[in-house]
Amino acid sequence: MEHDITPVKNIIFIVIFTCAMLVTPMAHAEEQRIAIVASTRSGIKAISAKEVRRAYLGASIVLNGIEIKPLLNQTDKLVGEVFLQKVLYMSAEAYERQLLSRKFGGAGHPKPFENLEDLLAALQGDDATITFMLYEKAINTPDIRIIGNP
Amino acid sequence: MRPLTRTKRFFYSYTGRMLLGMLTIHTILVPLVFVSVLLMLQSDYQSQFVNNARSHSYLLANLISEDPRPAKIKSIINDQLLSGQVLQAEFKGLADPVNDNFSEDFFFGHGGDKIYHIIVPVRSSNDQLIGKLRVGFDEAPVEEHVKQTYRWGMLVGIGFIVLSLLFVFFFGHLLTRSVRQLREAARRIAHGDINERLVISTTINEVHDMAVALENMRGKLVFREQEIALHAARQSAVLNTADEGIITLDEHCLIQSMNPAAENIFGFRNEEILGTPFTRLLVPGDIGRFLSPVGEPIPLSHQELTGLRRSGEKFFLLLSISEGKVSDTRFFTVMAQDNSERHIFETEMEYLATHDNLTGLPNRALLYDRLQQGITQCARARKMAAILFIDLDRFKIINDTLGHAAGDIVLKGVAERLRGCLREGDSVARNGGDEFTVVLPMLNDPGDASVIAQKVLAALTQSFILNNEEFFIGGSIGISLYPGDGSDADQLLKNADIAMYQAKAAGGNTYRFYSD
Repeated sequence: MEHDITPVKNIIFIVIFTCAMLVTPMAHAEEQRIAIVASTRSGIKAISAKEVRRAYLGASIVLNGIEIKPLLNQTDKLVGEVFLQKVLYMSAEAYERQLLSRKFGGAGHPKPFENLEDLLAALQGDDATITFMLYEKAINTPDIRIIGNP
Repeated sequence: MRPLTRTKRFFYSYTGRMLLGMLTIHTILVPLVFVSVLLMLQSDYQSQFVNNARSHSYLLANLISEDPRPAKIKSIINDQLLSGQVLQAEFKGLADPVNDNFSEDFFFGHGGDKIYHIIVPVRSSNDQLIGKLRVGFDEAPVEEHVKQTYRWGMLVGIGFIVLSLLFVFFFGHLLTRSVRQLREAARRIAHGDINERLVISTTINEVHDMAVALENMRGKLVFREQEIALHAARQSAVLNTADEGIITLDEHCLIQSMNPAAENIFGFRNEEILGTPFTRLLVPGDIGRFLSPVGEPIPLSHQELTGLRRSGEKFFLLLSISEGKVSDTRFFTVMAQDNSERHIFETEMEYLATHDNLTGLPNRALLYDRLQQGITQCARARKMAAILFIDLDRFKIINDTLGHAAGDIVLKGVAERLRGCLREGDSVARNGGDEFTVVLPMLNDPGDASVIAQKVLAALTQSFILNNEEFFIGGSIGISLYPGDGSDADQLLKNADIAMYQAKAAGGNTYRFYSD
């Protein structure tokens, strides 16, 4: 259905729409690789993409006799979106809803970290913990080991 | 003060203020609310799009991983392109060269090409990477949907504002109807129309309370007006029925009002005298007694002045003047009485007190007074005075036989005859009964008294006609002389009386001088 909108109303619409577009976060268009990491002391040697996906969706995954504890890396919006796109195949909102429904079902919720130092400290503090990082960042970060490359 | 234009009047009204307030609130709040909602909707659309794209890419990658032969992959990709679910799809095996265009997006709208690209790893059943699938989804339908939502949102927002303003306008108009009724009622009361009962139907408590208060005020005004009217009627009745003339003057002595009694006294009608000086109602000689040197009325209490009627007639005017003040305005109240009748009455009373009622001659008291004056006059002039004490002879016979009426006629006749015997300056008085006294001042010789005594006797011996019959009386006269027979009135009268008895003893109808 077409609506008769006056030029003034069009200008208002354009201004509002432009503002809305401006608040949308920017991202790089190059292909990004995600790495699943754990502490160098961790007994977890490797993890498949499916196991990572299940772990982050709230399922209990035991590897090498260790029940893994996934940590959410929210230190950067891009790393989160790359992880969601390449590992979980869902949007951030869908993931939130998914976690919420799993939480009501009694499953654990991956602990979120917005500070990288805290995240790395958590990794070092518990050998059962894993998290995800951009591949280029992971290879340059000490005391962690890449255990998966989904 | 310039009158307000129609538009300004509207915006100074309750409805106008409500409209302005509502417009201000909506101008601030509606864009905030609608932009927030629209941003949430936009985010939700984009999130759903991204979610669908990512899950669709995953399913597609899984589908390819089940049979990763190139022909099969090509078939799957063609099916996807034909179905329109994806805009672009490209599979790169591990050995295939990857150029710079093989990039992906992680946020909606990024890249500016309106295509959301996702690169999905394709793995074999044993989780070995066998290639990458790059899928492109069309962002345009979502963008169009967002735009459509924005348009709708804006229209709804504007419609909401317009409807709100219309609602406020009509509701404000409805709400202020009773207030306008109150205003009209207050105006009517201000213009003096207070007899119409105030009827305002409203369900708003404050307005209802105001209406009740206004109605109470109107009721009290009606009561006060009735009281004032009654008071004024009473005052008017008092003024109109007062026997005294009541005149009010301003501070310049000009007449402000005059009651009917004052109109009767002065002979002027109200309309021809109002605004004129009060002094026109006084003889010129008395104006100085009424006005102070500065031209203001002098407060007076029962002062007699000479008034001037419209006809020019002068009369005795009894005035009382008092000063009053209403607010800052001074005024004077003049109480006026026509004193002429009182003067006539007093004159009559004085006459009755000093004269014999029957004969009109001075009585003994006045005679005594005149005798005193005569003595004084003679003493000053070194002259003689004579007192003739006259007692009528045979009068008792007439009185007893013909009655008192006949006797009165005789007494009147005697008085008349005695007057005829006297000189100017002489006095005759009736002592009472049949006794008379004559005072003859300023005599040079006792013989002058004899002459008059003889004239008196001659007059008395003439007959009186009563009931067609002729009667004769006479008189016995005793004479005392000043200063020889006494120096004061009492002595002289006493000696004249003694002399009269001597004349009576001599047979009457004669006179005798007093002798020791």
